[in-house]
Amino acid sequence: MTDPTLPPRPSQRDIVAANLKKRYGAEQRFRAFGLAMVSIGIIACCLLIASIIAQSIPALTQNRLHIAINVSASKADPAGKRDPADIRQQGNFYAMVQDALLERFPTAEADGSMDDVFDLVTSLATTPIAKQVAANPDLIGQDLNVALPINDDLDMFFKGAFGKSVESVGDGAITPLALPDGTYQLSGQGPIFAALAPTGTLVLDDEKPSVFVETTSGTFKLQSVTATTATATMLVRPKAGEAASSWRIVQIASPQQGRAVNDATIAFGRQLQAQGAIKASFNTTVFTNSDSNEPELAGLFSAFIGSLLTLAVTALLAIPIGVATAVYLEEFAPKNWLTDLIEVNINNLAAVPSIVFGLLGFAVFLTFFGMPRAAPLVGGIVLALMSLPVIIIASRAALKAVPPSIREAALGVGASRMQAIFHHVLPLALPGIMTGSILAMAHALGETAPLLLIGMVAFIADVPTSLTDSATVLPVELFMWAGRPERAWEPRTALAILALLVFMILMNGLAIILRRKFERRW
Amino acid sequence: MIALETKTAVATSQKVKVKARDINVFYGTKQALFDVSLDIPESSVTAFIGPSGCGKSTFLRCINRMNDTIDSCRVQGVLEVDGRNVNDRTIDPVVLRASVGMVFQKPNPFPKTIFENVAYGPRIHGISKDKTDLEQIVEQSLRKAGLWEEVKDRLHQPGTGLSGGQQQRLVIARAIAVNPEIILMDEPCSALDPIATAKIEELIDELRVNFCIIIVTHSMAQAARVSQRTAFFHMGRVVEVGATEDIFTNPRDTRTQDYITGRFG
Repeated sequence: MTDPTLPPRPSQRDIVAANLKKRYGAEQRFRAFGLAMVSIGIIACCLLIASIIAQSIPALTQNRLHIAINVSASKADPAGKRDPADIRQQGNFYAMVQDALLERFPTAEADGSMDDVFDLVTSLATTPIAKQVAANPDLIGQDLNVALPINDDLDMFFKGAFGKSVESVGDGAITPLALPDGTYQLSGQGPIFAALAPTGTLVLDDEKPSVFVETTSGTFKLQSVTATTATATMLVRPKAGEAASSWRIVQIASPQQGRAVNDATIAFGRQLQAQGAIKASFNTTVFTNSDSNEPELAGLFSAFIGSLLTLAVTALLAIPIGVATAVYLEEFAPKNWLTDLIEVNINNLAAVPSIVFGLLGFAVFLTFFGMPRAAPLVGGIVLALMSLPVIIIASRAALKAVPPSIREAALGVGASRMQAIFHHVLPLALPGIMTGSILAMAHALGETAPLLLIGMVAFIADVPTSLTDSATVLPVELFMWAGRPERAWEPRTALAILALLVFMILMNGLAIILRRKFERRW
Repeated sequence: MIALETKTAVATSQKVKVKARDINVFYGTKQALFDVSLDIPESSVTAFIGPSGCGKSTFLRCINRMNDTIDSCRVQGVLEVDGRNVNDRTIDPVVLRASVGMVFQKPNPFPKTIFENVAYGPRIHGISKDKTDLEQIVEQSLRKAGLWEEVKDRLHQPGTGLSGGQQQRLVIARAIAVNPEIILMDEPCSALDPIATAKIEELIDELRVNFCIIIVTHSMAQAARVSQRTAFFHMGRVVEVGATEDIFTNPRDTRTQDYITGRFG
């Protein structure tokens, strides 16, 4: 019975309609949040990749000094036995490069700027020449065209790491006049330096950005400038009798104090660059060389090989053991407190910090078993231990996901459990197992901490050739590079990060391809 | 009544293929079957009917020891196939299942070719002598399952690409290929449309000549159509067993009557 005094109950349609806006609102908000989060994620990811790529661009090219050297017998093979080992150890190839440079700048020795010229190239840069001559002693006595990576600081200067140099073409002719105190007075017709010092005198000490005047073959560094004249020190002596009709003012963006490369070396470098003897080309060194203390000579190759060897050990140990464990635990093991305990422990192990595995590797493999330090074998075993729980968990999940109907079908026609698993269940679980395994491998590839503890952080200049050689891996290499002081390491570290990322993307791509290939529907 | 008696006489004069005595099955602590005793004759179709959860599938799975795959499942009692107790630990389930085939509720062909599906059993048991022999077995099995004409041109295409009814017949061919004596069918038509169901029923009727077929079904009409004997299960016990005609026309137990007339279940 309804009470006539009560207001009429709203109809059900009205109740639903009143709530409708709220319900849809909640959905809209949820979608908007989701979209916003995904967008932020994508933007952050793009920014990260873009910044790494931008940082790494300077490392993609390398300025090289292209110069002809004379491979003199007395310097290349002082013992005169033409023995390759002798040539590599005793040969002084840097002296040949020094000779060739002095040929270019004959007055440098007299001017006291010889060391600045020699700073263009480090002595280590000549190692490939030594190898080349040792491999082919017939080259002794001949002229050899070589391309040597230049000093990393000068290279970075050319790439604009210390600011961009501004050049302006000089007006009319310029006459350098030697003063008794060893400086020079530069003057021409009219106010040729008006752009630098319109009025008064501009004094350029070492704390101010350097300003050069470059003639066809000489370079002067300005010390004080008025609109019409300037006093300067000579950095590169012009060739005798050269007409100084074409010249330019070069404003370097930084003062000498603010950079690791001095003005004289820059001046010589710029002259060689103007002559076409210093040219930038694609930096193959960083991919083909091993580690070095000189950034221009350092490469990722040995770390790459180290990573491959380590990962091979990891894969060969972790995947078979992990998959076998998963099959046993999932398909054969009785379900009791012992297997429960094992399962809990496997899950916990997957969450153990990786450095703990490094400590274990150090304590067990190095200290107890006396295995070699820094060896890919030990690194691989440690990473395999770290990957095992992940592989086991992924494989078990993949095995669990195979519908029981397939198992029953096989058992129903009289297959043994082993046959049912290996003929039917495992092939169907394979895509999932492979995905899990490859992702575990990709994780192992990027792992640094445990490898530091077993000594893989050592400086490795040789490419490892066996599993017991000392080696390092890509992530450890880039960890080391990131910690070194020279500016040139910065882009190289970014490039190493990119290389590592590309390696990982390739591995993950492989995982996707394998998954597609073996995936079967039922 | 006269017709009924003759039929019962025929049924009992046939050799007993499966003989169960006091079968008790437990899932953990929960008992699923209580003292089930049954005789199943050869060369006939026996249907198990009953409401869901009454234990008919559990009993079916006792016959080929499929319950072994469930960890918590325990089976007690004597279940003889051809006079040998299958629950005896000396009986290898692999040997047993080679002579007791099984067809499941949902068609479950292997994700392999039609040929491989049928050839799998003979291959693992080493039944075929060579490749031509194996091909012959596959063809005969597919013929017996009434599928040959439909698939003979695409033997090497995936079995999962067939329609539901074809898949179920493929699965029957797979079971036949190992030449079993008994075929267990666990609601083989529950996932199929009426036309596919009719085909399977026709097939069951043909196979009856050579095999002892035991079928679990929820469809009383199907039990009436295909089986010669019917057992009614309820709450884990066999309430009534007899010639199908008797069970459906003249049930002795009120529970059977209630069930077949649709009062519960």
